[in-house]
Amino acid sequence: MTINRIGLKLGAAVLVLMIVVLVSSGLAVDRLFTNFYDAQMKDNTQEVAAHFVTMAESNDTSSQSMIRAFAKFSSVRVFWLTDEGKILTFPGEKQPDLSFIRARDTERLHSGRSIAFQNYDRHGNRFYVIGKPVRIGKNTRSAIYIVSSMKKIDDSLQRLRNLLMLSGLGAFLLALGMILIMSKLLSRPLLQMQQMTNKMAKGNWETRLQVRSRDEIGMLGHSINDLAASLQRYRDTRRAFFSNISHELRTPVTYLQGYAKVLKDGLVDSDKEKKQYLSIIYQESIRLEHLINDLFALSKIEEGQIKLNMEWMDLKTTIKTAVQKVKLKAEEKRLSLQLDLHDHVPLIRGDHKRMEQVLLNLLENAIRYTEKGSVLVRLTTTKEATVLSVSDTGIGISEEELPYIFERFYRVEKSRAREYGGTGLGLSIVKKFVEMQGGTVRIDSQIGVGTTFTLIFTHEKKQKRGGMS
Amino acid sequence: MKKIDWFFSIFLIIMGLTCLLFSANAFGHESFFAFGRILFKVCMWAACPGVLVGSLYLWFHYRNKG
Repeated sequence: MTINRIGLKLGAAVLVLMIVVLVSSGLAVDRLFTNFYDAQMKDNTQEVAAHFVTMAESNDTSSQSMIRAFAKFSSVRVFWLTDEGKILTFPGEKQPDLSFIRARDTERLHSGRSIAFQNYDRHGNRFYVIGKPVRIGKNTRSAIYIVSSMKKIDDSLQRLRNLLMLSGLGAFLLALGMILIMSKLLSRPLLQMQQMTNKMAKGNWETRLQVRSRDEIGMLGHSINDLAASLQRYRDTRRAFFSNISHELRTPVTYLQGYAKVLKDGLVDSDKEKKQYLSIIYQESIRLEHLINDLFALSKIEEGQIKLNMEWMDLKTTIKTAVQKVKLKAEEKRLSLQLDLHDHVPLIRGDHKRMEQVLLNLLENAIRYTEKGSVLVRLTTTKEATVLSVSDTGIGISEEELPYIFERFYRVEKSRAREYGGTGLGLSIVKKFVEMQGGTVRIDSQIGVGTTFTLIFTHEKKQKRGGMS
Repeated sequence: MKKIDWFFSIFLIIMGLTCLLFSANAFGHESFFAFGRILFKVCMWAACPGVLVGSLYLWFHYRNKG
């Protein structure tokens, strides 16, 4: 038989409660029975005593023997006290034990008052004593003592007490058996959770709880399952991240090593070739720098270390600045860079620097994946929000890939990733920065037609965040 | 719950019922066999709620699964 601590505590708590209830109710029942029997016996004895006094007051010569005969039937003893304070005895009768008769009681009786008290004999048996004055005419001349033994009642009460204790023991055992079952059943889900969290602590995050109940324990089980799933997802993404990052870092480093070695060993035939290799080394070092900068930015965002400088800003200015910066790249690819900025677009609250970085990332992406056609930046406003979109006529993204587009190092054209360039982190940064500024990003794309990234900054959210700076 | 847990719990419950029944019938002067018969009846009645709850649980369990 296995005993767990939580079950033990639960069981012990209920058991203590049970013992308290049993003991208190047992005591109450015991007192109830004892008092009931005592009262009953006292009433009966008082009644018998009243009859005897009536008989004694009749002053008949046979009354003494009649009283003794009735006393025998009633299981009581009667003592006749004379006006001199002596106890009358019949001839041949043993002198009774009269230790219960006290002088002050005799005085009370002779003064016409009744007495009643409880006493104990040498053996510790209880008996009830009633003393009543006998009035003949107007004078109290004598008195009678009626002594009723309480041994039978005490024996019955003792038997009743024993049976009560047996009942209490029975109730206790019954409760103990049920508590064992209840505590096991109630503590089982908690133990399962404890075992599961132990497994999780050892790195086994695939494990899940079988949650059946819908109460708080069930909700806790669901929460633990969710926690395990989150941890598992975190571990998987971290693994993928490290795998990606090592790959992304290794590739430019390999290029740098290879071409630097060629140059160092003098394996170039011409100056043209040398310039070409130096150009590759330069481009790869730039790429490496971008990668490190992006990684640094992303890690700072995820750690919550980036503090935004929120202020009222005009998106038109930001757009124009960003477009100016990428204009040269667009011209190199002979792409038309178009602006469609509506008038009366309200100011929004945001970080000017981060917003420009978002736009630059989107524009560079659009130029990178567009071979011919145009890139259009549009700024409009609706009743609910300010909408900024960057559209291109590039290669487009398939519907299956859209959900993953904001994941770190996710590439649409994996085989031609190096040809297109970029770090694979740009869109992750875009999403994070836009969300930090209270906006949302939407993407619509069609293979071979183009892609549109839409940034939506709702006016309500903007007003709520108005206090932030 | 293991079998030994069930056995121990049911043993305690039956012991408790026996004590309760014995004290309840102490003034009846029943014979040993009559006492055994009554104890069996009481145990069966005590098991009734358990059987009822178990049946309902199984019924709900299989109905939800189905």
